[in-house]
Amino acid sequence: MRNIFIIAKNTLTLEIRDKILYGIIVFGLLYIFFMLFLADLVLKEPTMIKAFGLTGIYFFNAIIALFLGTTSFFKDVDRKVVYFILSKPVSRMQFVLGKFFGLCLVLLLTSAILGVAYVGVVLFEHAGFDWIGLVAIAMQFLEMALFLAFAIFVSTFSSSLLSIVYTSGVFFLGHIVSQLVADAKAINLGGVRLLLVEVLYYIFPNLEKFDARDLAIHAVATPWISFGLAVAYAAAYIIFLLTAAVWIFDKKEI
Amino acid sequence: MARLNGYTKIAVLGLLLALVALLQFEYDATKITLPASSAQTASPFMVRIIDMGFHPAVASFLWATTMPEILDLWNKKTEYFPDLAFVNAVDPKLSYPYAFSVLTLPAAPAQDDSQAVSQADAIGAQGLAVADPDWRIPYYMATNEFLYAKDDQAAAKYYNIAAETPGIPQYAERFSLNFGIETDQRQKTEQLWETIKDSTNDPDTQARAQAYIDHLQDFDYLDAASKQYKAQFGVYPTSTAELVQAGIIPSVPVDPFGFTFIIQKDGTSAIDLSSLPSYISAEPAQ
Repeated sequence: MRNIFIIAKNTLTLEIRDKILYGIIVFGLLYIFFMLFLADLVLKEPTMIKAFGLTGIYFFNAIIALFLGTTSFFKDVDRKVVYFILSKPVSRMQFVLGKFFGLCLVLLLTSAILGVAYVGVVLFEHAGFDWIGLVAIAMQFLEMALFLAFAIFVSTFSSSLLSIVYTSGVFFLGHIVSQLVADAKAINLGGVRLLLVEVLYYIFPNLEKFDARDLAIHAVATPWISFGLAVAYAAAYIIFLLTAAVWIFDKKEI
Repeated sequence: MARLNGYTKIAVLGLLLALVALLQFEYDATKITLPASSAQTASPFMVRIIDMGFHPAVASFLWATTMPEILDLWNKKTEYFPDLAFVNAVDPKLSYPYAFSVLTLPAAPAQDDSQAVSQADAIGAQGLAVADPDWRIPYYMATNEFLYAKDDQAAAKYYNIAAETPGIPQYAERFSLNFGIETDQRQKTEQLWETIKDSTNDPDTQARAQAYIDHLQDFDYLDAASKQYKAQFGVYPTSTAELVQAGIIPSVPVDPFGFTFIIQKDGTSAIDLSSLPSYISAEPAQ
Protein backbone atom coordinates (compact mmCIF):
# COMPACT_ATOMS: atom_id res chain seq x y z
CA MET A 1 0.00 0.00 0.00
CA ARG A 2 2.87 2.31 0.89
CA ASN A 3 4.50 1.65 -2.49
CA ILE A 4 1.27 2.52 -4.31
CA PHE A 5 1.04 5.77 -2.34
CA ILE A 6 4.67 6.70 -3.12
CA ILE A 7 4.28 5.99 -6.85
CA ALA A 8 0.97 7.93 -6.89
CA LYS A 9 2.62 10.88 -5.14
CA ASN A 10 5.59 10.83 -7.51
CA THR A 11 3.27 10.61 -10.53
CA LEU A 12 1.35 13.64 -9.26
CA THR A 13 4.57 15.59 -8.65
CA LEU A 14 5.93 14.67 -12.07
CA GLU A 15 2.76 15.42 -14.03
CA ILE A 16 1.97 18.76 -12.45
CA ARG A 17 5.38 19.96 -13.65
CA ASP A 18 4.35 19.28 -17.25
CA LYS A 19 4.00 22.49 -19.23
CA ILE A 20 1.47 20.90 -21.61
CA LEU A 21 -0.83 20.27 -18.65
CA TYR A 22 -0.49 23.93 -17.63
CA GLY A 23 -1.36 24.93 -21.18
CA ILE A 24 -4.55 22.85 -21.15
CA ILE A 25 -5.55 24.20 -17.72
CA VAL A 26 -4.93 27.77 -18.83
CA PHE A 27 -7.11 27.22 -21.91
CA GLY A 28 -9.75 25.59 -19.68
CA LEU A 29 -9.74 28.63 -17.40
CA LEU A 30 -9.87 30.98 -20.36
CA TYR A 31 -12.92 29.11 -21.65
CA ILE A 32 -14.62 29.32 -18.25
CA PHE A 33 -14.05 33.09 -18.21
CA PHE A 34 -15.18 33.25 -21.84
CA MET A 35 -18.51 32.10 -20.39
CA LEU A 36 -18.98 35.71 -19.26
CA PHE A 37 -19.16 36.66 -22.93
CA LEU A 38 -21.28 33.63 -23.84
CA ALA A 39 -23.64 34.60 -21.01
CA ASP A 40 -24.26 37.94 -22.74
CA LEU A 41 -25.03 36.12 -25.99
CA VAL A 42 -27.84 34.17 -24.32
CA LEU A 43 -29.07 37.13 -22.26
CA LYS A 44 -27.61 35.68 -19.05
CA GLU A 45 -29.96 32.71 -19.03
CA PRO A 46 -28.73 30.61 -16.06
CA THR A 47 -29.47 27.19 -17.61
CA MET A 48 -27.46 28.05 -20.70
CA ILE A 49 -24.54 29.53 -18.72
CA LYS A 50 -24.36 26.28 -16.73
CA ALA A 51 -24.61 24.18 -19.90
CA PHE A 52 -21.66 26.02 -21.46
CA GLY A 53 -19.59 25.81 -18.27
CA LEU A 54 -20.12 22.12 -17.48
CA THR A 55 -19.48 21.16 -21.10
CA GLY A 56 -16.22 23.13 -21.11
CA ILE A 57 -15.01 21.52 -17.87
CA TYR A 58 -15.88 18.11 -19.28
CA PHE A 59 -13.99 18.61 -22.52
CA PHE A 60 -10.87 20.07 -20.94
CA ASN A 61 -10.78 17.29 -18.36
CA ALA A 62 -11.27 14.74 -21.15
CA ILE A 63 -8.29 16.23 -23.01
CA ILE A 64 -6.22 16.11 -19.82
CA ALA A 65 -7.27 12.50 -19.12
CA LEU A 66 -6.48 11.48 -22.70
CA PHE A 67 -3.13 13.26 -22.59
CA LEU A 68 -2.11 11.85 -19.19
CA GLY A 69 -3.52 8.37 -19.64
CA THR A 70 -1.90 7.74 -22.98
CA THR A 71 1.50 9.36 -22.34
CA SER A 72 2.35 8.95 -18.65
CA PHE A 73 2.58 5.17 -18.55
CA PHE A 74 4.23 4.99 -21.94
CA LYS A 75 6.81 7.65 -20.96
CA ASP A 76 7.88 5.61 -17.92
CA VAL A 77 8.45 2.56 -20.08
CA ASP A 78 10.09 4.54 -22.89
CA ARG A 79 12.43 6.48 -20.61
CA LYS A 80 13.20 3.27 -18.74
CA VAL A 81 12.05 4.75 -15.43
CA VAL A 82 10.09 1.56 -14.99
CA TYR A 83 13.38 -0.47 -14.79
CA PHE A 84 14.52 1.60 -11.87
CA ILE A 85 11.18 1.32 -10.06
CA LEU A 86 10.72 -2.41 -10.65
CA SER A 87 14.26 -3.15 -9.51
CA LYS A 88 13.07 -2.08 -6.05
CA PRO A 89 10.71 -4.24 -4.00
CA VAL A 90 7.75 -2.96 -6.01
CA SER A 91 5.40 -5.29 -7.85
CA ARG A 92 4.03 -4.52 -11.30
CA MET A 93 0.55 -4.37 -9.82
CA GLN A 94 1.68 -1.69 -7.36
CA PHE A 95 3.26 0.25 -10.22
CA VAL A 96 0.07 0.18 -12.33
CA LEU A 97 -2.14 1.10 -9.39
CA GLY A 98 0.27 3.83 -8.28
CA LYS A 99 0.24 5.33 -11.76
CA PHE A 100 -3.57 5.17 -11.89
CA PHE A 101 -4.12 6.84 -8.52
CA GLY A 102 -1.43 9.43 -9.24
CA LEU A 103 -3.11 10.40 -12.50
CA CYS A 104 -6.49 10.46 -10.74
CA LEU A 105 -5.01 12.95 -8.26
CA VAL A 106 -3.89 15.19 -11.13
CA LEU A 107 -7.41 15.04 -12.58
CA LEU A 108 -8.90 15.77 -9.18
CA LEU A 109 -6.70 18.83 -8.97
CA THR A 110 -7.62 20.10 -12.44
CA SER A 111 -11.33 19.37 -11.81
CA ALA A 112 -11.09 21.38 -8.58
CA ILE A 113 -9.38 24.33 -10.31
CA LEU A 114 -11.88 24.43 -13.19
CA GLY A 115 -14.78 23.72 -10.78
CA VAL A 116 -13.89 26.69 -8.57
CA ALA A 117 -13.63 28.95 -11.63
CA TYR A 118 -17.01 27.63 -12.85
CA VAL A 119 -18.76 28.22 -9.52
CA GLY A 120 -17.22 31.71 -9.38
CA VAL A 121 -18.46 32.63 -12.86
CA VAL A 122 -21.95 31.22 -12.18
CA LEU A 123 -22.09 33.20 -8.92
CA PHE A 124 -20.88 36.32 -10.74
CA GLU A 125 -23.72 35.91 -13.24
CA HIS A 126 -26.21 35.82 -10.33
CA ALA A 127 -27.21 32.21 -11.07
CA GLY A 128 -26.68 31.16 -7.44
CA PHE A 129 -24.30 28.66 -5.88
CA ASP A 130 -24.45 25.66 -8.16
CA TRP A 131 -24.32 22.71 -5.76
CA ILE A 132 -25.79 20.36 -8.34
CA GLY A 133 -23.20 21.54 -10.82
CA LEU A 134 -20.53 20.35 -8.38
CA VAL A 135 -22.24 16.93 -8.28
CA ALA A 136 -22.11 16.91 -12.10
CA ILE A 137 -18.38 17.76 -11.99
CA ALA A 138 -17.83 14.94 -9.47
CA MET A 139 -19.61 12.50 -11.79
CA GLN A 140 -17.51 13.78 -14.67
CA PHE A 141 -14.41 13.05 -12.59
CA LEU A 142 -15.63 9.49 -12.11
CA GLU A 143 -16.04 9.13 -15.87
CA MET A 144 -12.52 10.49 -16.39
CA ALA A 145 -11.15 7.97 -13.89
CA LEU A 146 -12.68 5.20 -15.98
CA PHE A 147 -11.25 6.85 -19.04
CA LEU A 148 -7.78 6.91 -17.42
CA ALA A 149 -8.04 3.24 -16.48
CA PHE A 150 -8.88 2.41 -20.09
CA ALA A 151 -5.95 4.49 -21.36
CA ILE A 152 -3.55 2.73 -18.94
CA PHE A 153 -4.95 -0.64 -19.97
CA VAL A 154 -4.37 0.13 -23.66
CA SER A 155 -0.91 1.57 -22.92
CA THR A 156 0.24 -1.79 -21.54
CA PHE A 157 0.12 -3.41 -24.98
CA SER A 158 0.05 -0.57 -27.46
CA SER A 159 2.06 2.46 -28.56
CA SER A 160 1.24 5.95 -27.33
CA LEU A 161 -0.29 7.00 -30.64
CA LEU A 162 -2.51 3.94 -30.91
CA SER A 163 -3.55 4.39 -27.27
CA ILE A 164 -4.83 7.86 -28.20
CA VAL A 165 -6.80 6.39 -31.12
CA TYR A 166 -8.32 3.53 -29.05
CA THR A 167 -9.13 5.71 -26.06
CA SER A 168 -10.71 8.42 -28.23
CA GLY A 169 -12.79 5.74 -29.94
CA VAL A 170 -14.04 4.43 -26.62
CA PHE A 171 -14.78 7.97 -25.49
CA PHE A 172 -16.96 8.54 -28.55
CA LEU A 173 -18.59 5.11 -28.56
CA GLY A 174 -19.19 5.25 -24.80
CA HIS A 175 -21.43 8.24 -25.36
CA ILE A 176 -23.39 7.06 -28.36
CA VAL A 177 -23.82 3.39 -27.51
CA SER A 178 -27.13 3.97 -25.68
CA GLN A 179 -28.44 5.92 -28.63
CA LEU A 180 -27.29 3.14 -31.00
CA VAL A 181 -29.37 0.55 -29.16
CA ALA A 182 -32.39 2.84 -29.12
CA ASP A 183 -32.00 3.51 -32.86
CA ALA A 184 -31.51 -0.19 -33.64
CA LYS A 185 -34.80 -0.95 -31.90
CA ALA A 186 -36.51 2.02 -33.54
CA ILE A 187 -35.69 0.71 -37.02
CA ASN A 188 -36.73 -2.82 -35.97
CA LEU A 189 -33.26 -4.27 -36.28
CA GLY A 190 -33.49 -7.89 -35.22
CA GLY A 191 -31.65 -11.18 -35.01
CA VAL A 192 -27.89 -11.33 -34.81
CA ARG A 193 -27.42 -7.69 -35.72
CA LEU A 194 -29.47 -6.48 -32.77
CA LEU A 195 -27.68 -8.98 -30.57
CA LEU A 196 -24.32 -7.56 -31.67
CA VAL A 197 -25.42 -4.02 -30.89
CA GLU A 198 -26.68 -5.16 -27.47
CA VAL A 199 -23.43 -7.00 -26.73
CA LEU A 200 -21.60 -3.79 -27.64
CA TYR A 201 -23.90 -1.90 -25.31
CA TYR A 202 -23.20 -4.12 -22.32
CA ILE A 203 -19.48 -4.66 -22.91
CA PHE A 204 -18.28 -1.21 -23.93
CA PRO A 205 -17.90 1.44 -21.22
CA ASN A 206 -21.27 3.15 -21.13
CA LEU A 207 -20.39 6.70 -20.21
CA GLU A 208 -23.89 8.18 -20.40
CA LYS A 209 -24.66 7.20 -16.84
CA PHE A 210 -22.04 9.67 -15.56
CA ASP A 211 -23.86 12.52 -17.23
CA ALA A 212 -25.35 14.44 -14.31
CA ARG A 213 -25.27 17.62 -16.34
CA ASP A 214 -28.96 17.21 -17.17
CA LEU A 215 -29.65 17.23 -13.47
CA ALA A 216 -27.72 20.47 -13.05
CA ILE A 217 -29.11 22.16 -16.14
CA HIS A 218 -32.67 20.81 -16.30
CA ALA A 219 -34.98 20.05 -13.44
CA VAL A 220 -34.61 16.30 -13.94
CA ALA A 221 -35.31 14.27 -10.84
CA THR A 222 -32.62 11.59 -10.69
CA PRO A 223 -32.93 8.95 -7.96
CA TRP A 224 -29.87 8.63 -5.72
CA ILE A 225 -29.77 4.91 -6.51
CA SER A 226 -28.77 5.88 -10.08
CA PHE A 227 -25.74 7.73 -8.71
CA GLY A 228 -24.91 4.75 -6.51
CA LEU A 229 -25.13 2.36 -9.46
CA ALA A 230 -23.00 4.67 -11.61
CA VAL A 231 -20.30 4.75 -8.90
CA ALA A 232 -20.45 0.96 -8.59
CA TYR A 233 -20.29 0.59 -12.39
CA ALA A 234 -17.22 2.85 -12.57
CA ALA A 235 -15.53 0.96 -9.71
CA ALA A 236 -16.24 -2.43 -11.29
CA TYR A 237 -15.07 -1.36 -14.74
CA ILE A 238 -11.92 0.30 -13.36
CA ILE A 239 -11.08 -2.85 -11.36
CA PHE A 240 -11.63 -4.93 -14.50
CA LEU A 241 -9.42 -2.70 -16.68
CA LEU A 242 -6.64 -2.38 -14.11
CA THR A 243 -6.64 -6.14 -13.42
CA ALA A 244 -6.33 -6.79 -17.16
CA ALA A 245 -3.63 -4.10 -17.39
CA VAL A 246 -1.65 -5.71 -14.54
CA TRP A 247 -1.88 -9.16 -16.11
CA ILE A 248 -0.77 -7.91 -19.52
CA PHE A 249 2.00 -5.85 -17.95
CA ASP A 250 3.11 -8.91 -15.94
CA LYS A 251 3.63 -10.84 -19.16
CA LYS A 252 5.43 -7.98 -20.86
CA GLU A 253 9.18 -8.34 -21.18
CA ILE A 254 10.90 -5.17 -20.17
CA MET B 1 22.90 38.92 -37.82
CA ALA B 2 23.24 41.83 -35.40
CA ARG B 3 22.08 41.20 -31.82
CA LEU B 4 18.94 43.15 -30.95
CA ASN B 5 18.20 44.62 -27.54
CA GLY B 6 14.97 43.96 -25.62
CA TYR B 7 13.07 47.05 -26.81
CA THR B 8 13.96 46.41 -30.44
CA LYS B 9 12.75 42.82 -30.12
CA ILE B 10 9.43 44.00 -28.68
CA ALA B 11 9.13 46.55 -31.48
CA VAL B 12 9.87 43.90 -34.12
CA LEU B 13 7.28 41.58 -32.58
CA GLY B 14 4.76 44.45 -32.49
CA LEU B 15 5.42 45.18 -36.16
CA LEU B 16 5.03 41.54 -37.09
CA LEU B 17 1.74 41.38 -35.16
CA ALA B 18 0.56 44.55 -36.94
CA LEU B 19 1.49 42.92 -40.24
CA VAL B 20 -0.59 39.86 -39.30
CA ALA B 21 -3.57 42.09 -38.43
CA LEU B 22 -3.14 43.99 -41.71
CA LEU B 23 -3.04 40.77 -43.71
CA GLN B 24 -6.20 39.57 -41.94
CA PHE B 25 -7.88 42.87 -42.80
CA GLU B 26 -6.82 42.57 -46.44
CA TYR B 27 -7.91 38.94 -46.56
CA ASP B 28 -11.37 39.85 -45.22
CA ALA B 29 -11.67 42.54 -47.89
CA THR B 30 -10.94 40.09 -50.69
CA LYS B 31 -12.68 37.05 -49.24
CA ILE B 32 -15.29 35.42 -51.43
CA THR B 33 -18.53 35.10 -49.51
CA LEU B 34 -19.87 31.59 -49.75
CA PRO B 35 -23.51 30.85 -49.00
CA ALA B 36 -23.93 30.50 -45.25
CA SER B 37 -24.74 27.01 -44.09
CA SER B 38 -28.04 26.63 -42.36
CA ALA B 39 -28.72 24.55 -39.30
CA GLN B 40 -31.45 22.95 -41.37
CA THR B 41 -28.88 21.08 -43.46
CA ALA B 42 -28.37 18.72 -40.53
CA SER B 43 -31.12 16.91 -38.71
CA PRO B 44 -31.67 17.32 -34.96
CA PHE B 45 -31.62 13.54 -34.76
CA MET B 46 -28.05 13.40 -36.13
CA VAL B 47 -26.96 16.27 -33.90
CA ARG B 48 -28.29 14.42 -30.85
CA ILE B 49 -26.27 11.34 -31.84
CA ILE B 50 -22.95 13.08 -32.40
CA ASP B 51 -23.14 15.63 -29.59
CA MET B 52 -22.34 12.84 -27.10
CA GLY B 53 -25.03 13.82 -24.63
CA PHE B 54 -24.26 17.55 -24.62
CA HIS B 55 -27.76 18.41 -25.81
CA PRO B 56 -28.21 21.47 -23.54
CA ALA B 57 -24.86 23.00 -24.51
CA VAL B 58 -25.33 22.35 -28.22
CA ALA B 59 -28.91 23.66 -28.11
CA SER B 60 -27.68 26.73 -26.20
CA PHE B 61 -25.00 27.43 -28.82
CA LEU B 62 -27.60 27.01 -31.58
CA TRP B 63 -29.99 29.26 -29.67
CA ALA B 64 -27.35 32.00 -29.44
CA THR B 65 -27.34 32.09 -33.26
CA THR B 66 -31.10 31.65 -33.64
CA MET B 67 -32.21 34.36 -31.20
CA PRO B 68 -31.05 37.36 -33.30
CA GLU B 69 -32.97 35.95 -36.28
CA ILE B 70 -36.18 37.19 -34.68
CA LEU B 71 -35.19 40.65 -35.91
CA ASP B 72 -35.31 39.32 -39.47
CA LEU B 73 -39.07 38.91 -39.11
CA TRP B 74 -39.27 42.66 -39.69
CA ASN B 75 -37.61 42.05 -43.08
CA LYS B 76 -40.11 39.30 -43.92
CA LYS B 77 -37.49 36.56 -43.38
CA THR B 78 -38.85 33.68 -41.38
CA GLU B 79 -35.76 31.49 -40.71
CA TYR B 80 -36.43 32.03 -37.02
CA PHE B 81 -39.23 29.47 -36.91
CA PRO B 82 -37.46 26.43 -38.44
CA ASP B 83 -34.30 27.24 -36.49
CA LEU B 84 -36.28 27.52 -33.26
CA ALA B 85 -37.87 24.15 -34.02
CA PHE B 86 -34.35 22.76 -34.55
CA VAL B 87 -33.16 24.07 -31.18
CA ASN B 88 -36.27 22.63 -29.52
CA ALA B 89 -35.68 19.27 -31.17
CA VAL B 90 -32.04 19.12 -30.01
CA ASP B 91 -33.02 19.85 -26.43
CA PRO B 92 -36.79 19.98 -25.92
CA LYS B 93 -36.37 20.65 -22.20
CA LEU B 94 -34.50 23.93 -22.66
CA SER B 95 -37.23 26.34 -21.61
CA TYR B 96 -35.80 29.74 -22.49
CA PRO B 97 -36.31 29.58 -26.28
CA TYR B 98 -40.04 28.95 -25.70
CA ALA B 99 -40.32 31.77 -23.13
CA PHE B 100 -38.37 34.21 -25.32
CA SER B 101 -40.54 33.41 -28.35
CA VAL B 102 -43.81 33.79 -26.42
CA LEU B 103 -42.64 37.15 -25.09
CA THR B 104 -41.23 38.55 -28.31
CA LEU B 105 -43.33 37.20 -31.17
CA PRO B 106 -46.42 39.37 -30.57
CA ALA B 107 -44.20 42.43 -31.09
CA ALA B 108 -42.97 41.07 -34.43
CA PRO B 109 -44.87 41.92 -37.59
CA ALA B 110 -47.61 39.48 -38.47
CA GLN B 111 -50.82 39.65 -40.44
CA ASP B 112 -52.68 40.64 -37.33
CA ASP B 113 -52.40 40.49 -33.56
CA SER B 114 -54.41 37.30 -33.27
CA GLN B 115 -52.07 35.51 -35.68
CA ALA B 116 -49.03 36.65 -33.70
CA VAL B 117 -50.64 35.59 -30.44
CA SER B 118 -51.67 32.21 -31.83
CA GLN B 119 -48.11 31.60 -33.09
CA ALA B 120 -46.73 32.51 -29.69
CA ASP B 121 -49.45 30.41 -28.04
CA ALA B 122 -48.54 27.30 -30.05
CA ILE B 123 -44.86 27.64 -29.10
CA GLY B 124 -45.80 28.32 -25.48
CA ALA B 125 -48.11 25.31 -25.32
CA GLN B 126 -45.30 23.11 -26.64
CA GLY B 127 -42.98 24.55 -23.99
CA LEU B 128 -45.53 23.93 -21.24
CA ALA B 129 -45.83 20.32 -22.36
CA VAL B 130 -42.17 19.33 -22.70
CA ALA B 131 -39.80 21.94 -21.26
CA ASP B 132 -38.50 22.36 -17.73
CA PRO B 133 -41.08 24.03 -15.49
CA ASP B 134 -40.51 27.72 -16.24
CA TRP B 135 -42.98 30.28 -14.91
CA ARG B 136 -42.12 32.70 -17.71
CA ILE B 137 -43.79 30.59 -20.40
CA PRO B 138 -47.35 30.69 -18.93
CA TYR B 139 -46.78 34.21 -17.60
CA TYR B 140 -45.94 35.62 -21.03
CA MET B 141 -48.75 33.58 -22.59
CA ALA B 142 -51.16 35.17 -20.11
CA THR B 143 -49.73 38.59 -20.88
CA ASN B 144 -50.32 38.08 -24.60
CA GLU B 145 -53.89 36.98 -23.96
CA PHE B 146 -54.52 40.06 -21.82
CA LEU B 147 -52.72 42.70 -23.88
CA TYR B 148 -53.19 41.51 -27.45
CA ALA B 149 -55.99 38.91 -27.62
CA LYS B 150 -58.05 40.78 -24.95
CA ASP B 151 -59.07 37.42 -23.55
CA ASP B 152 -59.09 37.92 -19.77
CA GLN B 153 -60.36 34.39 -19.13
CA ALA B 154 -57.44 32.75 -20.96
CA ALA B 155 -55.08 35.24 -19.31
CA ALA B 156 -56.38 34.26 -15.86
CA LYS B 157 -55.87 30.58 -16.71
CA TYR B 158 -52.21 31.07 -17.67
CA TYR B 159 -51.51 33.44 -14.76
CA ASN B 160 -52.80 30.69 -12.51
CA ILE B 161 -50.40 28.16 -14.09
CA ALA B 162 -47.55 30.67 -13.72
CA ALA B 163 -48.38 31.29 -10.05
CA GLU B 164 -48.21 27.56 -9.38
CA THR B 165 -44.90 27.03 -11.19
CA PRO B 166 -41.94 26.59 -8.83
CA GLY B 167 -39.36 29.36 -8.91
CA ILE B 168 -41.73 32.21 -9.82
CA PRO B 169 -40.40 35.46 -8.30
CA GLN B 170 -42.52 37.15 -5.67
CA TYR B 171 -43.38 40.18 -7.82
CA ALA B 172 -44.75 38.00 -10.64
CA GLU B 173 -46.54 35.64 -8.27
CA ARG B 174 -48.23 38.57 -6.51
CA PHE B 175 -49.41 39.94 -9.84
CA SER B 176 -50.56 36.54 -11.10
CA LEU B 177 -52.54 35.78 -7.97
CA ASN B 178 -54.19 39.21 -8.00
CA PHE B 179 -55.01 39.27 -11.69
CA GLY B 180 -58.62 40.35 -12.19
CA ILE B 181 -58.89 42.11 -8.83
CA GLU B 182 -57.71 45.51 -10.08
CA THR B 183 -60.50 47.62 -11.49
CA ASP B 184 -58.28 50.23 -13.10
CA GLN B 185 -57.19 48.82 -16.46
CA ARG B 186 -54.34 51.33 -16.86
CA GLN B 187 -52.88 50.51 -13.45
CA LYS B 188 -53.10 46.79 -14.18
CA THR B 189 -51.38 47.18 -17.54
CA GLU B 190 -48.65 49.35 -16.03
CA GLN B 191 -47.99 46.76 -13.33
CA LEU B 192 -47.86 44.08 -15.99
CA TRP B 193 -45.19 45.91 -17.98
CA GLU B 194 -43.22 46.42 -14.76
CA THR B 195 -43.18 42.66 -14.17
CA ILE B 196 -42.18 41.97 -17.78
CA LYS B 197 -39.31 44.44 -17.48
CA ASP B 198 -38.10 42.74 -14.29
CA SER B 199 -38.42 39.24 -15.72
CA THR B 200 -36.16 39.54 -18.77
CA ASN B 201 -32.52 40.33 -19.53
CA ASP B 202 -33.30 41.20 -23.12
CA PRO B 203 -32.47 44.93 -23.40
CA ASP B 204 -34.89 45.45 -26.32
CA THR B 205 -37.80 43.99 -24.37
CA GLN B 206 -36.80 45.97 -21.28
CA ALA B 207 -36.70 49.18 -23.32
CA ARG B 208 -40.09 48.37 -24.85
CA ALA B 209 -41.59 47.66 -21.43
CA GLN B 210 -40.12 50.90 -20.02
CA ALA B 211 -41.56 52.85 -22.96
CA TYR B 212 -45.02 51.44 -22.22
CA ILE B 213 -44.65 52.28 -18.52
CA ASP B 214 -43.58 55.85 -19.33
CA HIS B 215 -46.42 56.13 -21.83
CA LEU B 216 -49.00 55.04 -19.23
CA GLN B 217 -47.48 57.19 -16.50
CA ASP B 218 -47.71 60.23 -18.77
CA PHE B 219 -51.50 59.78 -18.79
CA ASP B 220 -51.57 59.55 -14.99
CA TYR B 221 -49.40 62.65 -14.76
CA LEU B 222 -51.60 64.68 -17.11
CA ASP B 223 -54.83 63.46 -15.46
CA ALA B 224 -53.57 64.57 -12.06
CA ALA B 225 -52.46 67.94 -13.48
CA SER B 226 -55.84 68.39 -15.15
CA LYS B 227 -57.64 67.78 -11.82
CA GLN B 228 -55.39 70.30 -10.11
CA TYR B 229 -56.21 72.84 -12.85
CA LYS B 230 -59.95 72.27 -12.27
CA ALA B 231 -59.45 72.77 -8.53
CA GLN B 232 -57.69 76.08 -9.16
CA PHE B 233 -59.72 77.51 -12.04
CA GLY B 234 -63.05 75.69 -11.77
CA VAL B 235 -62.89 74.28 -15.30
CA TYR B 236 -60.82 71.64 -17.04
CA PRO B 237 -58.03 72.82 -19.32
CA THR B 238 -58.66 72.60 -23.06
CA SER B 239 -55.09 71.71 -23.95
CA THR B 240 -51.86 70.50 -22.36
CA ALA B 241 -50.31 73.89 -23.10
CA GLU B 242 -52.71 75.48 -20.60
CA LEU B 243 -51.34 73.24 -17.88
CA VAL B 244 -47.86 74.61 -18.59
CA GLN B 245 -49.09 78.22 -18.80
CA ALA B 246 -50.83 77.83 -15.44
CA GLY B 247 -47.53 76.62 -13.96
CA ILE B 248 -49.01 73.24 -12.93
CA ILE B 249 -46.50 71.25 -14.98
CA PRO B 250 -43.09 72.54 -16.16
CA SER B 251 -43.50 71.09 -19.66
CA VAL B 252 -45.67 68.69 -21.64
CA PRO B 253 -44.20 65.17 -21.35
CA VAL B 254 -42.65 63.74 -24.50
CA ASP B 255 -44.33 60.45 -25.34
CA PRO B 256 -41.86 57.59 -25.97
CA PHE B 257 -43.92 56.46 -28.94
CA GLY B 258 -44.12 59.96 -30.43
CA PHE B 259 -47.83 60.57 -29.83
CA THR B 260 -49.23 64.00 -28.95
CA PHE B 261 -51.28 64.28 -25.77
CA ILE B 262 -54.58 66.14 -25.59
CA ILE B 263 -56.98 66.92 -22.77
CA GLN B 264 -60.55 65.76 -23.36
CA LYS B 265 -63.70 67.55 -22.28
CA ASP B 266 -64.03 65.43 -19.17
CA GLY B 267 -60.52 66.46 -18.12
CA THR B 268 -58.85 63.14 -18.88
CA SER B 269 -55.81 62.91 -21.09
CA ALA B 270 -55.77 61.05 -24.40
CA ILE B 271 -53.87 60.64 -27.66
CA ASP B 272 -54.35 63.05 -30.52
CA LEU B 273 -55.43 60.68 -33.28
CA SER B 274 -55.28 63.44 -35.90
CA SER B 275 -51.49 63.75 -35.57
CA LEU B 276 -50.08 60.24 -35.40
CA PRO B 277 -46.30 59.71 -35.36
CA SER B 278 -44.67 59.43 -38.79
CA TYR B 279 -43.84 55.73 -38.42
CA ILE B 280 -47.54 54.94 -37.96
CA SER B 281 -48.91 57.22 -40.64
CA ALA B 282 -46.23 56.09 -43.13
CA GLU B 283 -46.83 52.39 -42.48
CA PRO B 284 -50.49 51.73 -41.81
CA ALA B 285 -51.21 48.52 -39.95
CA GLN B 286 -51.88 45.59 -42.27
